[in-house]
Amino acid sequence: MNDLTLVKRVLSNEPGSFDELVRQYQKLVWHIISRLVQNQEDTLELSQEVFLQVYCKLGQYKGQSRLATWIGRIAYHFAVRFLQKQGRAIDESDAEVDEETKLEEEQAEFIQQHQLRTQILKAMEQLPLIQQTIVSLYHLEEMTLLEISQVCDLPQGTIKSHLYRARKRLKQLLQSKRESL
Amino acid sequence: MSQNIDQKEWLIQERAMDKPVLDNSAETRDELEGYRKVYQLLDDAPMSQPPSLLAEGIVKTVTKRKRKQRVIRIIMSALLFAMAIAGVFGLTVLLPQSALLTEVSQAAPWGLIICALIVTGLVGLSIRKLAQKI
Repeated sequence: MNDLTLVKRVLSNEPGSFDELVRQYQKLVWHIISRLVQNQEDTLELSQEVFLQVYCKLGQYKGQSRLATWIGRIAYHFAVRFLQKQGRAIDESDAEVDEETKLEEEQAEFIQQHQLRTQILKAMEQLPLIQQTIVSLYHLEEMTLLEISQVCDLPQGTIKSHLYRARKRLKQLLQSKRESL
Repeated sequence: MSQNIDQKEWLIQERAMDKPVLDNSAETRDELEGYRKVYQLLDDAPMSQPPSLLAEGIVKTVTKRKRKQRVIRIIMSALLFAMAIAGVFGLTVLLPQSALLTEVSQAAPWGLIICALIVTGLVGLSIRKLAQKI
Protein backbone atom coordinates (compact mmCIF):
# COMPACT_ATOMS: atom_id res chain seq x y z
CA MET A 1 0.00 0.00 0.00
CA ASN A 2 1.09 3.54 -0.75
CA ASP A 3 2.72 5.29 2.24
CA LEU A 4 0.55 8.40 1.95
CA THR A 5 -2.64 6.33 1.76
CA LEU A 6 -1.73 4.54 4.97
CA VAL A 7 -0.87 7.85 6.65
CA LYS A 8 -4.19 9.37 5.55
CA ARG A 9 -6.05 6.36 6.91
CA VAL A 10 -4.30 6.71 10.27
CA LEU A 11 -4.92 10.45 10.38
CA SER A 12 -8.61 9.93 9.66
CA ASN A 13 -8.72 7.47 12.60
CA GLU A 14 -9.69 4.51 10.44
CA PRO A 15 -9.96 1.48 12.76
CA GLY A 16 -6.96 -0.83 12.55
CA SER A 17 -4.89 1.53 10.41
CA PHE A 18 -2.39 2.50 13.11
CA ASP A 19 -2.13 -1.13 14.11
CA GLU A 20 -1.23 -1.89 10.48
CA LEU A 21 1.39 0.86 10.44
CA VAL A 22 3.00 -0.45 13.64
CA ARG A 23 3.06 -4.03 12.34
CA GLN A 24 4.57 -2.87 9.05
CA TYR A 25 7.42 -0.88 10.60
CA GLN A 26 8.03 -2.53 13.99
CA LYS A 27 10.87 -4.67 12.61
CA LEU A 28 12.66 -1.64 11.19
CA VAL A 29 12.33 0.32 14.44
CA TRP A 30 13.38 -2.73 16.45
CA HIS A 31 16.46 -3.34 14.30
CA ILE A 32 17.65 0.26 14.51
CA ILE A 33 17.12 0.63 18.25
CA SER A 34 18.35 -2.80 19.29
CA ARG A 35 21.56 -2.38 17.25
CA LEU A 36 22.33 0.92 18.95
CA VAL A 37 21.02 0.34 22.45
CA GLN A 38 22.00 -3.35 22.77
CA ASN A 39 19.47 -4.07 25.51
CA GLN A 40 16.10 -5.74 25.00
CA GLU A 41 14.20 -3.90 27.75
CA ASP A 42 15.39 -0.47 26.66
CA THR A 43 14.69 -1.38 23.04
CA LEU A 44 11.11 -2.32 23.92
CA GLU A 45 10.51 0.91 25.83
CA LEU A 46 12.13 3.08 23.16
CA SER A 47 10.21 1.34 20.36
CA GLN A 48 6.95 2.22 22.11
CA GLU A 49 8.06 5.82 22.51
CA VAL A 50 9.06 5.99 18.85
CA PHE A 51 5.64 4.85 17.69
CA LEU A 52 3.92 7.29 20.04
CA GLN A 53 6.03 10.04 18.51
CA VAL A 54 5.19 8.74 15.03
CA TYR A 55 1.51 8.87 15.93
CA CYS A 56 1.77 12.43 17.27
CA LYS A 57 3.83 13.75 14.33
CA LEU A 58 2.26 11.77 11.51
CA GLY A 59 0.49 14.89 10.29
CA GLN A 60 3.91 16.33 9.43
CA TYR A 61 4.73 13.50 7.01
CA LYS A 62 4.25 14.86 3.51
CA GLY A 63 5.65 11.96 1.49
CA GLN A 64 9.01 13.59 0.63
CA SER A 65 10.71 10.29 1.49
CA ARG A 66 9.58 6.73 2.09
CA LEU A 67 7.66 6.32 5.32
CA ALA A 68 10.30 3.76 6.35
CA THR A 69 12.99 6.46 6.09
CA TRP A 70 10.88 8.95 8.04
CA ILE A 71 10.12 6.46 10.83
CA GLY A 72 13.69 5.12 10.77
CA ARG A 73 14.99 8.63 11.29
CA ILE A 74 12.80 9.11 14.37
CA ALA A 75 13.92 5.73 15.75
CA TYR A 76 17.58 6.52 15.12
CA HIS A 77 17.38 9.90 16.85
CA PHE A 78 15.52 8.45 19.82
CA ALA A 79 18.21 5.80 20.24
CA VAL A 80 21.06 8.30 19.86
CA ARG A 81 19.45 10.67 22.42
CA PHE A 82 19.01 7.72 24.77
CA LEU A 83 22.70 6.79 24.40
CA GLN A 84 23.73 10.40 24.97
CA LYS A 85 21.65 10.56 28.15
CA GLN A 86 23.44 7.46 29.37
CA GLY A 87 26.81 8.96 28.45
CA ARG A 88 27.30 6.34 25.75
CA ALA A 89 27.81 8.58 22.74
CA ILE A 90 27.71 6.91 19.35
CA ASP A 91 30.99 7.10 17.45
CA GLU A 92 30.23 8.27 13.93
CA SER A 93 33.83 9.06 13.10
CA ASP A 94 34.67 5.64 11.63
CA ALA A 95 37.77 5.62 13.79
CA GLU A 96 39.76 2.44 13.82
CA VAL A 97 42.04 2.64 16.82
CA ASP A 98 44.81 0.10 17.00
CA GLU A 99 43.06 -2.02 14.44
CA GLU A 100 45.58 -4.87 14.26
CA THR A 101 45.76 -5.59 17.98
CA LYS A 102 42.03 -5.30 18.32
CA LEU A 103 41.46 -7.67 15.43
CA GLU A 104 43.79 -10.28 16.91
CA GLU A 105 42.03 -10.14 20.26
CA GLU A 106 38.68 -10.36 18.57
CA GLN A 107 39.79 -13.27 16.44
CA ALA A 108 40.98 -15.17 19.50
CA GLU A 109 37.62 -14.69 21.14
CA PHE A 110 35.87 -15.36 17.88
CA ILE A 111 37.43 -18.81 17.53
CA GLN A 112 35.40 -19.87 20.55
CA GLN A 113 32.21 -19.57 18.58
CA HIS A 114 31.02 -22.73 16.88
CA GLN A 115 27.56 -22.18 15.52
CA LEU A 116 27.74 -20.94 11.94
CA ARG A 117 24.65 -18.80 12.27
CA THR A 118 25.75 -17.14 15.47
CA GLN A 119 29.18 -16.37 14.02
CA ILE A 120 27.84 -13.48 12.03
CA LEU A 121 26.02 -12.09 15.08
CA LYS A 122 29.21 -12.28 17.11
CA ALA A 123 31.07 -10.61 14.27
CA MET A 124 28.40 -7.90 14.06
CA GLU A 125 28.73 -7.21 17.77
CA GLN A 126 32.39 -6.44 17.23
CA LEU A 127 31.59 -3.64 14.82
CA PRO A 128 31.03 -0.05 16.00
CA LEU A 129 27.34 0.63 16.77
CA ILE A 130 26.91 2.89 13.76
CA GLN A 131 28.29 0.21 11.42
CA GLN A 132 26.00 -2.45 12.90
CA THR A 133 23.04 -0.15 12.28
CA ILE A 134 24.09 0.64 8.72
CA VAL A 135 24.65 -3.04 7.85
CA SER A 136 21.20 -3.89 9.26
CA LEU A 137 19.52 -1.11 7.32
CA TYR A 138 21.31 -1.93 4.05
CA HIS A 139 21.18 -5.71 4.10
CA LEU A 140 18.15 -6.51 6.22
CA GLU A 141 15.87 -3.54 5.58
CA GLU A 142 17.16 -3.11 2.03
CA MET A 143 17.43 0.66 2.32
CA THR A 144 19.52 2.63 -0.17
CA LEU A 145 22.62 4.62 0.82
CA LEU A 146 20.60 7.82 0.37
CA GLU A 147 17.82 6.59 2.66
CA ILE A 148 20.32 5.50 5.31
CA SER A 149 22.05 8.87 5.12
CA GLN A 150 18.65 10.51 5.75
CA VAL A 151 17.94 8.20 8.69
CA CYS A 152 21.33 8.73 10.32
CA ASP A 153 21.79 12.37 9.31
CA LEU A 154 25.21 11.60 7.84
CA PRO A 155 26.58 12.24 4.34
CA GLN A 156 26.20 9.40 1.83
CA GLY A 157 29.99 9.14 1.54
CA THR A 158 30.26 8.47 5.27
CA ILE A 159 27.56 5.82 5.11
CA LYS A 160 29.33 4.20 2.16
CA SER A 161 32.63 4.22 4.02
CA HIS A 162 31.07 2.68 7.15
CA LEU A 163 29.36 0.01 5.07
CA TYR A 164 32.55 -0.78 3.17
CA ARG A 165 34.58 -1.13 6.36
CA ALA A 166 31.89 -3.13 8.14
CA ARG A 167 31.56 -5.65 5.31
CA LYS A 168 35.32 -5.94 4.94
CA ARG A 169 35.68 -6.54 8.65
CA LEU A 170 32.87 -9.10 8.73
CA LYS A 171 34.52 -10.95 5.86
CA GLN A 172 37.91 -10.89 7.62
CA LEU A 173 36.42 -12.19 10.85
CA LEU A 174 34.55 -14.98 9.12
CA GLN A 175 37.57 -15.95 7.05
CA SER A 176 39.79 -16.10 10.10
CA LYS A 177 37.25 -18.39 11.71
CA ARG A 178 37.14 -20.66 8.69
CA GLU A 179 40.94 -20.83 8.50
CA SER A 180 41.20 -21.66 12.18
CA LEU A 181 38.91 -24.65 11.80
CA MET B 1 35.36 9.96 4.08
CA SER B 2 34.46 7.99 0.95
CA GLN B 3 38.00 8.65 -0.36
CA ASN B 4 39.18 6.01 2.13
CA ILE B 5 37.34 3.38 0.13
CA ASP B 6 39.08 1.02 -2.23
CA GLN B 7 36.68 1.51 -5.13
CA LYS B 8 37.57 -1.84 -6.68
CA GLU B 9 36.74 -3.69 -3.49
CA TRP B 10 33.57 -1.63 -3.01
CA LEU B 11 32.42 -2.79 -6.44
CA ILE B 12 33.20 -6.38 -5.51
CA GLN B 13 31.16 -5.97 -2.32
CA GLU B 14 28.23 -4.65 -4.33
CA ARG B 15 28.53 -7.26 -7.08
CA ALA B 16 28.56 -10.03 -4.50
CA MET B 17 24.91 -9.23 -3.87
CA ASP B 18 24.01 -10.34 -7.41
CA LYS B 19 23.58 -14.06 -7.78
CA PRO B 20 25.31 -15.01 -11.07
CA VAL B 21 29.00 -14.19 -11.21
CA LEU B 22 30.51 -13.94 -14.68
CA ASP B 23 33.99 -13.51 -16.17
CA ASN B 24 35.91 -12.96 -12.96
CA SER B 25 39.52 -13.74 -12.21
CA ALA B 26 40.21 -16.36 -9.54
CA GLU B 27 41.18 -13.66 -7.07
CA THR B 28 38.00 -11.67 -7.66
CA ARG B 29 35.93 -14.84 -7.49
CA ASP B 30 37.35 -15.62 -4.05
CA GLU B 31 36.58 -12.08 -2.88
CA LEU B 32 33.06 -12.31 -4.26
CA GLU B 33 32.51 -15.67 -2.61
CA GLY B 34 33.78 -14.29 0.70
CA TYR B 35 31.32 -11.40 0.63
CA ARG B 36 28.51 -13.59 -0.63
CA LYS B 37 29.03 -15.84 2.39
CA VAL B 38 28.81 -12.80 4.68
CA TYR B 39 25.53 -11.68 3.08
CA GLN B 40 24.10 -15.18 3.20
CA LEU B 41 24.93 -15.46 6.90
CA LEU B 42 23.40 -12.03 7.52
CA ASP B 43 20.20 -13.20 5.83
CA ASP B 44 20.09 -16.45 7.80
CA ALA B 45 21.24 -15.09 11.16
CA PRO B 46 18.70 -15.26 13.97
CA MET B 47 18.44 -11.49 14.41
CA SER B 48 16.64 -10.10 17.44
CA GLN B 49 12.98 -9.67 16.56
CA PRO B 50 10.34 -7.44 18.15
CA PRO B 51 8.13 -9.29 20.64
CA SER B 52 4.77 -10.32 19.20
CA LEU B 53 2.95 -8.14 21.73
CA LEU B 54 4.81 -4.96 20.77
CA ALA B 55 2.22 -3.75 18.26
CA GLU B 56 -0.66 -4.61 20.60
CA GLY B 57 0.98 -2.70 23.48
CA ILE B 58 1.63 0.36 21.34
CA VAL B 59 -1.90 0.43 19.94
CA LYS B 60 -3.31 0.15 23.48
CA THR B 61 -1.12 3.04 24.67
CA VAL B 62 -2.16 5.19 21.71
CA THR B 63 -5.84 4.38 22.30
CA LYS B 64 -5.43 5.40 25.96
CA ARG B 65 -3.72 8.60 24.89
CA LYS B 66 -6.49 9.36 22.40
CA ARG B 67 -9.09 8.90 25.13
CA LYS B 68 -7.11 11.18 27.44
CA GLN B 69 -6.89 13.81 24.71
CA ARG B 70 -10.64 13.58 24.10
CA VAL B 71 -11.30 14.15 27.83
CA ILE B 72 -8.88 17.09 27.85
CA ARG B 73 -10.59 18.54 24.78
CA ILE B 74 -14.02 18.26 26.45
CA ILE B 75 -12.71 19.88 29.63
CA MET B 76 -11.09 22.64 27.58
CA SER B 77 -14.30 23.34 25.70
CA ALA B 78 -16.29 23.40 28.94
CA LEU B 79 -13.73 25.74 30.48
CA LEU B 80 -13.87 28.10 27.53
CA PHE B 81 -17.64 28.04 27.51
CA ALA B 82 -17.71 28.82 31.25
CA MET B 83 -15.23 31.64 30.71
CA ALA B 84 -17.35 33.12 27.94
CA ILE B 85 -20.47 32.97 30.10
CA ALA B 86 -18.56 34.51 33.02
CA GLY B 87 -17.29 37.21 30.68
CA VAL B 88 -20.80 38.10 29.50
CA PHE B 89 -22.13 38.11 33.08
CA GLY B 90 -19.16 40.14 34.23
CA LEU B 91 -19.75 42.72 31.54
CA THR B 92 -23.47 43.01 32.26
CA VAL B 93 -22.75 43.47 35.97
CA LEU B 94 -19.76 45.76 35.55
CA LEU B 95 -21.09 47.79 32.64
CA PRO B 96 -23.65 49.88 34.56
CA GLN B 97 -21.22 50.37 37.48
CA SER B 98 -18.14 51.46 35.57
CA ALA B 99 -18.23 54.86 33.95
CA LEU B 100 -15.28 53.99 31.71
CA LEU B 101 -16.86 50.76 30.43
CA THR B 102 -20.18 52.50 29.87
CA GLU B 103 -18.42 55.17 27.84
CA VAL B 104 -16.49 52.59 25.82
CA SER B 105 -19.57 50.47 25.19
CA GLN B 106 -21.47 53.52 24.03
CA ALA B 107 -18.65 54.81 21.86
CA ALA B 108 -17.58 51.48 20.34
CA PRO B 109 -19.81 48.57 21.33
CA TRP B 110 -18.35 46.33 18.60
CA GLY B 111 -14.84 47.16 19.75
CA LEU B 112 -15.68 45.87 23.20
CA ILE B 113 -17.12 42.65 21.78
CA ILE B 114 -14.08 42.15 19.53
CA CYS B 115 -11.73 42.73 22.50
CA ALA B 116 -13.67 40.17 24.56
CA LEU B 117 -13.48 37.67 21.68
CA ILE B 118 -9.71 38.21 21.26
CA VAL B 119 -9.08 37.70 24.97
CA THR B 120 -11.22 34.55 24.95
CA GLY B 121 -9.34 33.29 21.87
CA LEU B 122 -5.94 33.93 23.40
CA VAL B 123 -6.90 32.17 26.62
CA GLY B 124 -8.27 29.28 24.54
CA LEU B 125 -4.99 28.98 22.64
CA SER B 126 -2.97 29.04 25.84
CA ILE B 127 -5.12 26.28 27.33
CA ARG B 128 -4.69 24.26 24.13
CA LYS B 129 -0.91 24.65 24.28
CA LEU B 130 -0.93 23.57 27.89
CA ALA B 131 -3.11 20.58 27.03
CA GLN B 132 -0.67 19.53 24.30
CA LYS B 133 2.14 19.48 26.83
CA ILE B 134 0.22 17.18 29.17
